[in-house]
Amino acid sequence: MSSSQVSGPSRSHVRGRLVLLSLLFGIIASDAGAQGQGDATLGERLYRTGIGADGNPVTAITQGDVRIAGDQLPCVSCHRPSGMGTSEGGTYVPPITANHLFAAREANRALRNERFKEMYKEVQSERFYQDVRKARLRPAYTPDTLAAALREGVDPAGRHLNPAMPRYKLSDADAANLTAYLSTLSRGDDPGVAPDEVHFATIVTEGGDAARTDAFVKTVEAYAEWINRDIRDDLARPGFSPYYRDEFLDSYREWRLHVWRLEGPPESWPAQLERYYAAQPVFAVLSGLVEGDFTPIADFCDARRMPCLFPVTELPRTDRAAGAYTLYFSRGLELEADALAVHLAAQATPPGRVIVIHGADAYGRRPAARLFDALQARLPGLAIDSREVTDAAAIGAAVAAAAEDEAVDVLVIWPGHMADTAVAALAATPPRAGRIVLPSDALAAARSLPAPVREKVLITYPYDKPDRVRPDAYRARAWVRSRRLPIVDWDDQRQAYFAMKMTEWAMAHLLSDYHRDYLIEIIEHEVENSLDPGPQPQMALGPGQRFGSKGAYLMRLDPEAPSGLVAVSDWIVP
Amino acid sequence: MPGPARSLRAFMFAVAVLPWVPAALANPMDDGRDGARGGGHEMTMGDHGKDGPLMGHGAQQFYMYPGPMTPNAAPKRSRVHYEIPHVTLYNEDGAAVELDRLLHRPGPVALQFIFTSCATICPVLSAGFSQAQAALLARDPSTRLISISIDPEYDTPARLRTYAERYHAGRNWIFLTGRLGDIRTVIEAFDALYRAGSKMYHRPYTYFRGRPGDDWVRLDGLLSEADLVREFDAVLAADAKETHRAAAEPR
Repeated sequence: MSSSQVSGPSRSHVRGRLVLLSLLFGIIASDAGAQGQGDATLGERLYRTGIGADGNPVTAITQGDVRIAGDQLPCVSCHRPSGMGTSEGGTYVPPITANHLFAAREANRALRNERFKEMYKEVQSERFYQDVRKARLRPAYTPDTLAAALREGVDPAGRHLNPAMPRYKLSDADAANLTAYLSTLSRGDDPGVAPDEVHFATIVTEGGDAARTDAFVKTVEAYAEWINRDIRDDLARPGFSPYYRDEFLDSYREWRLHVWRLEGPPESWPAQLERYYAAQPVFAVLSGLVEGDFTPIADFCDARRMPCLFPVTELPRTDRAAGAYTLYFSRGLELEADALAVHLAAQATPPGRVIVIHGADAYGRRPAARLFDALQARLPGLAIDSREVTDAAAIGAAVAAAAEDEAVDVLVIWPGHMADTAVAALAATPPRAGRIVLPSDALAAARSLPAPVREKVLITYPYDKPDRVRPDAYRARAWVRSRRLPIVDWDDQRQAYFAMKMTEWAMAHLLSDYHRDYLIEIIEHEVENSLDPGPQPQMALGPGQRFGSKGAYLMRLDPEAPSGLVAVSDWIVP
Repeated sequence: MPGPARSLRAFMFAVAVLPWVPAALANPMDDGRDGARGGGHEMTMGDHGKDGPLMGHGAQQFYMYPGPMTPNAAPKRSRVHYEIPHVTLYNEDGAAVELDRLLHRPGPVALQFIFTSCATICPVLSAGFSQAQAALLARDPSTRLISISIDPEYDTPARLRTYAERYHAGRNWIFLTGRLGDIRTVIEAFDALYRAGSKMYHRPYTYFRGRPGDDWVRLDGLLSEADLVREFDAVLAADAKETHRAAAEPR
């Protein structure tokens, strides 16, 4: 400040010259046609779909001579929606966000990539480690050097980019549009992030069992508190630095967990969610225990571009799922319906007539509709008789009526919250049908069935065989027990534990690049490594994939078995 | 960095640098820029050494190696015999295919492991097959290209069909999926197991074999069309040579 006061007049003189110079320079630059002002919206389209300014896919050469179209390998494919890059098969894709691209890459351990390699301990090939450790110092990109990198694959230091990086044939407009978009890409922290804390929410709905909800919330809260205690411990001892820990202290932020309780019908949820979000924006929604159709919450998360990570729900939004912001354990009841159709179609003598009784809510209608389509596709001649019931009295009557029906091979019931009534009706009037099928959420009720009916029952079961021993599951159980948390529904709590653990791990890998897309990308990439996949046999995703577990078993009830269940099918992946 | 670790590192660095010092001083080819660096204790690392920024201080000053000018991207080649397991896989039309029978049929084979949601290396692998398929078939019309999904629970036949269309796959290019256990058996048989059991760490392998029972040539790395065709030609040439020798041998 003081120097500007002293040298006031001469500085303004210089400024005048600078203005003149920059005007001249601007004219020269635009004359050369290098880069005008690009359109960031068109730039985003090019980044995400490979469609150029003229509406056609751009073309490119990869690996020296392999021609590709932009829609086969758009930027987003490797550099991902966040622009933070990825790694696959030993190919390291560097970050190209606004902050990385338009800043010089220096040998400075304060910069992310200089530390990333210390933190990134996942097994990788030698080539990957060479690439990630290799110094690639370069000046900041300018629009011109960026265009040169995109077209010719040469960076501002004159270095050749990896041959896998396509050399795109870009018009001047394409290059300008892409530059405009990249200078906005993941530029700042996403909402919900404060200098020393990150806000998260978990969502629970009313209407379920209060004890179950309470145990669930306590599990999630205890996990967040556990993380915070660790963070406080580490911050209190900055000099103690195993695994270079003190280099990452700037990315240590405590978790502020908010419990968003939704009341009333699902139609009223969006307004409630907006109110919660307005009061305190959160970075992501972690787990959740949601009774009813998840669609309004999934829509909310998409609208906010906010990750919703592994909610406990049987009714995920299965359409528009790919690339959306909610990650699920599985497709829930629709998966159960599909697996049942595959199982029935694979029988030596497939059924000729099926009766389907279902509730009038999403728990009844969605799996029933799915089963209808799946059976029609696989068994074209099959007669399917669907009966919708609105209340407990009606489901009892419908089950009793179906029980008398002689010409039925399989009786399928999607009872939703009326499982107890449906099972009581089955016990009172044993059906003549050879097979009775119930979904996994009716399992607890079905266990009480008397032997003659029980032997006909099949349960669709989108989890691992319950008798399978998983060493890491005991760790989760021990964690819950040592905190004296109530265990009401172990599967819920295990899924909550999984969601929290996965998020903890992904948050650590963000370092201080708080981009929501990047959080999802890290989970997509790494979820397959988890030692304890929760109640599922395996969790695996990939870019854009949203359902971690993809199959189901058909189980029969057997009181002699330790878990009371025995698989009658292989793992069915419809 | 705590004090003791820092001084230990400085000591290690000095030990590593010492042998370089006489060589640097005695080198008559030095271009004189050395003088500008001052001190004369710095490391010289070939031509790269002087391009990077000056780092460190005092006796430990050195020029940071700024990175290679061209990436090292040459694929690694190996020649191995693989026992093909007897497993039933499913092609993009959902039809059952017994892998051992498929691979025991005559005609050259080019094979890769991919998955349809793979964003980084599979598009490059498949684009290579897409572009090279005409050239490979021109050399031997019975050539088959095989892409096996390593994400079979997601890669249904329908998804493989869409993927095949995206890469303009011809009739001789087969896409296979199957049960997860069977796919893992195949991955193991081709020594393509990936680390941590996560498909995201799979390697960009391409396999060639000329005739049933032959050893396979395996390339580890992303390939150009020219690489693919050259390796394929080499496999065919080796087979032709062997046929010739067998015919020439007295019975």
